[in-house]
Amino acid sequence: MDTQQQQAAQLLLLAEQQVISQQTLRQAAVSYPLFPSTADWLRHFRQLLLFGGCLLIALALMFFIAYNWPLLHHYGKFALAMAAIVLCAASAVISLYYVKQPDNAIYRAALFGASLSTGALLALIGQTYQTGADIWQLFAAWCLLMLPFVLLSHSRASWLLWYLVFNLALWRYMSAEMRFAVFSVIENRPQLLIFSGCNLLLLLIFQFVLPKTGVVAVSLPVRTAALVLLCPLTLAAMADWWHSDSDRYMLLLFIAVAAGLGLLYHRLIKDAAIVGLTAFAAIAVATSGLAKLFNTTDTFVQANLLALFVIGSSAAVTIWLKKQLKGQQHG
Amino acid sequence: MAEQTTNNRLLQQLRQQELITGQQYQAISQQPYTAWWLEVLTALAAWIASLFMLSAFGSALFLIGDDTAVRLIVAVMLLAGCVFLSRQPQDFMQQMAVAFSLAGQALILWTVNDTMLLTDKQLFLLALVQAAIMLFLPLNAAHRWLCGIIILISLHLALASMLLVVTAYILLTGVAIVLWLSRAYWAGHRFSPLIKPVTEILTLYSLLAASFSQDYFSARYHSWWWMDYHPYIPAIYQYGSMLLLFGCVCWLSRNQPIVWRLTVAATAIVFMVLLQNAPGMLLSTSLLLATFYGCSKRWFRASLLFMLLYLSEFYYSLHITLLQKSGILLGSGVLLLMLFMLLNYYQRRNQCPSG
Repeated sequence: MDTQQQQAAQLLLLAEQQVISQQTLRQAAVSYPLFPSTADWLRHFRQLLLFGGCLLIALALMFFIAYNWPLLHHYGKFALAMAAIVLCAASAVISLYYVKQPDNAIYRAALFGASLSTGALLALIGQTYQTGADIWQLFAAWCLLMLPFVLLSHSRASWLLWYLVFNLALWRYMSAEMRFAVFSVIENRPQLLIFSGCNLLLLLIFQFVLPKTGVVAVSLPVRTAALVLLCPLTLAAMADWWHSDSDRYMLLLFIAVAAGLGLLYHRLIKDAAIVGLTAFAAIAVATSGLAKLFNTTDTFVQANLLALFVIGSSAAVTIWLKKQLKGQQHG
Repeated sequence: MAEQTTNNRLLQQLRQQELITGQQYQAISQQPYTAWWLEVLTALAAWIASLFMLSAFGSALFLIGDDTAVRLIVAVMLLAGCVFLSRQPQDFMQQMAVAFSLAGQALILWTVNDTMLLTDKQLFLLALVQAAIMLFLPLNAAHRWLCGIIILISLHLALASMLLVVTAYILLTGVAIVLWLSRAYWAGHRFSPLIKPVTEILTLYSLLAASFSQDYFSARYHSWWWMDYHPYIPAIYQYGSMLLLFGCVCWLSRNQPIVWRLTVAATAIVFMVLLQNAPGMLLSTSLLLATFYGCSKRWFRASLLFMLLYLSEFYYSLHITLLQKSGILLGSGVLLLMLFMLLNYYQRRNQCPSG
């Protein structure tokens, strides 16, 4: 059912674009009020209050543990962190009986809170026993231990949290063990290969496995994974043109990944956003290649050629993507 | 896609009620559908292309002669190019127009400063006036965004006083909130193509400052590189944020029964007391409510995102201890859950046929 807010947004947009006059807007406002209805407010804010409340309480626990209050014995702190996890898990179980609806908002929010509290408990253990472990071990353990909650939650927010923690663990691991530096793309090709491989695997899991676990509307985690996969890979492929060695394996990997994503999301799944992202990444890599090719020519000619290439290719991709979007809209 | 279906259905209904003509219906239906991510990608490509072109032509022109007259001629050519490009229908050209305008404005500032040896304040004021003039030209929304950003940056640099900056910030956030709340009044106005980008720039500015200025406005840094310090700064920031949230909540609940209005006002007061040391949360909440009422899904989501950013910044801010912050978050979290239960109760009572 169309909501009053969606209709109001559309009318306001048409008026702002001067497509309909102020008089028409006023006449339309009699049948379609230009503000959200009570139902709109309730629907959006109920969920927001629930998830916001759980998030703030879990963060309060983390801040409290980080403060390391000397008046409370560390057993007391352990008990507090564990109690938070138990309370969240219990709330999820109770909600199943009380609301009588699987995957209800309370259930999902409680398991999201449990996932966050698991991190707080692990941070507390690390703080108390000073194991000397690197931070990646904390993130890796958190990632592993919250996985049951995330799997049970069927929630996109929990999966995004898990994805963030996984990538933090991976990044910190590579920084500590493999001397990975974010801004040194050329020197870090092996690390980028691992990073891209892991994120490609996650993208495929999100796309094909996540819907089977009961998560609905997976486009947000999938698109996030595609962005995280393509950004460093594009930079590495762009830098590969300028690499002195003949082995340009990051460039080859980029071509393979871009072709794969393009085919998958154009032919099979129809997600224009990922196709667009891939196409613009390919333009960036091709521009870098052209810059290398015309490196010896005059700056004026080189810069204008590159500008023309970027304008032409981007305009072509944009027109094509708009057609795709229109097709998807009508299809 | 669901949103598009809703839009198409609304257009059909408007057509049936003869609120729009058949010609208007056709024109609106045939408008090319675009998505925000495509706009971002196109803008990025346009800026890169513009940088290539500007650097190529800039270096070639300055080889001919690097004096005031050449620079001014180039600046005027760039601004004329901006006007020409912004008349083109393609998104790409619209973005290139913005890049040309930025280059033109920067070149004028550089030339005038070189010739007249302006003081810093004069230079900032000149940038402000120049951008303000360009803002009122009937060019595209992206160009108005650029001018708005230049105006805000020059204003802050010209003010040179943290007291004035914090006062201006609270006032401008108030303006953003008022503009969102009154969107239905100005949407059809002939100046709406100007008001809309101004509203969006002010919203972005308010959210950014709310997220990242806690330590500056809490007087942790008693002097910034060009600003002086005043003891009233934290109070203005704190009470200004409270006032904006309270005003916003009271205005939104103005048509409700008195019991609801009192409940909402009381909740806002508890929230304000709890979060008095986290004014960024109060300001983000005000903008969240205002953008929701203004039916802007994009800015509603942005407000939520900036709230999360604020929370990560809040951890590192030095104005209160982590224990105090923990207490604030716990209290706020519990309050939100209580509100959730209250809304659930209200909804259940309304759904109950006997009630």
